Amino acid sequence: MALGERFDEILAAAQKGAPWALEAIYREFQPGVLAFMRARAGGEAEDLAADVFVAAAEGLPRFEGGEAGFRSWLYTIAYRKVGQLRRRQGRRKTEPAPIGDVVEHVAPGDAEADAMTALATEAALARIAALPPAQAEVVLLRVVADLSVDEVAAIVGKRPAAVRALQHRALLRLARTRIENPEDPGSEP
Amino acid sequence: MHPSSLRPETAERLIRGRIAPEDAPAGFEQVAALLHAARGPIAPPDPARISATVAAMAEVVATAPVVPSRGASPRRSLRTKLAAGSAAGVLSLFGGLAAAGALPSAAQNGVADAASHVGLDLPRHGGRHGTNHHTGGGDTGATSEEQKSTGTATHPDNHGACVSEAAHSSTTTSGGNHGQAVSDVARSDCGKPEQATTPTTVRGQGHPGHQNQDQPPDTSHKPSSPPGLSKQPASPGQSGSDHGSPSHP
Repeated sequence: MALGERFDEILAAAQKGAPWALEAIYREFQPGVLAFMRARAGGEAEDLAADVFVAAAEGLPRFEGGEAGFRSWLYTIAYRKVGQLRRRQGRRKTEPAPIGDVVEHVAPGDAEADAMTALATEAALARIAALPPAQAEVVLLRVVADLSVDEVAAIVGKRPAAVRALQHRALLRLARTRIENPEDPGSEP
Repeated sequence: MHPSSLRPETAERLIRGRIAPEDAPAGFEQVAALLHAARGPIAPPDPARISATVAAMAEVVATAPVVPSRGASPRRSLRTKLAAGSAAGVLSLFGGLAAAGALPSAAQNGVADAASHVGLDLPRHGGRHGTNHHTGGGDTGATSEEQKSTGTATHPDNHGACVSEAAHSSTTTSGGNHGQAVSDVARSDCGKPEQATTPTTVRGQGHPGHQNQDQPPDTSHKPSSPPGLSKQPASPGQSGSDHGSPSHP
């Protein structure tokens, strides 16, 4: 789902600080950003995702472009936030959120089916997060953020060919892991 | 089939979710399902977090600069450049004139004082002129008393001032002798520099005191530059070949 034709109107209002427009942007892009953060920042995902939107608000009045450009810009901020987190934490491996935490994030009143879907999403993100960091970031930006190869290449600072190579190796790794551990969606490779 | 190979275009279609799990190549069915699940909805944040984040965003937008910095910066830069350029032009102009000793005495001394703070040794109206600027020294020919009385020791009109002073003097001469005295002063070298230092004279008309005026600059004949003046941009009358060349025989 995307804001589509309403994006320009919403962006213009958001650039003037209209709360309804800022909330529309937040609701539209927050799930993807949070998913990205959940896979890359573990337990700090919620706070980091909020930081991404606050940081985006700082540059919002000067932003020029369409919805695709905005999405790419937003994930650039998210990617850098993850980098900052890594530097703070040293080279410590980020841990995906425990699957048990997912229940806490399911809004009250959701149907069981929705909860199971969310659980499946969380489990899938955990599997991707278990990839080597460079592969995980490329897959997340391509799948969760729905960015093109060129956009991902610009964000991660690599050539498009390198991005394709990373995603190719990631798919092979995921396939092998699934075969070796078919019943364990969160197992390490 | 062990998933040891995957065609690039197939990998791209998997990534983009264009292949359903049941249509995926052998060994990649579960990968296709996993990627499909990763695109699924994630639990939405609670309303309190939404409100808090949106409020923070609104506050940040309200305090963010409205005018894009790209537009404002060049204008400020242009104004700064204009101001700096004007200041540099004024400094160059007065610096050149001061270096040539061509400013009125008050301005000359003021500029010399200012220049001394930055290590430049410019000539002054007064006793120090000629000792710093020209190694030959004594190029004005004016006595120290005349310099003090007129304040224009290096000015081309020094001789006129000397004659004027003689004409207005009534204590030493009177009557016909007064005219003769003034005439004598007018014919004398009173107030005249020993060499003319005006650029037009040196360059265009020649000057008997300069031996190398129509010759290429000879560095062996150049006077030594005063400290710091070599850093000044060349200006008429200030080049090494025609400015301050000693004319002593």
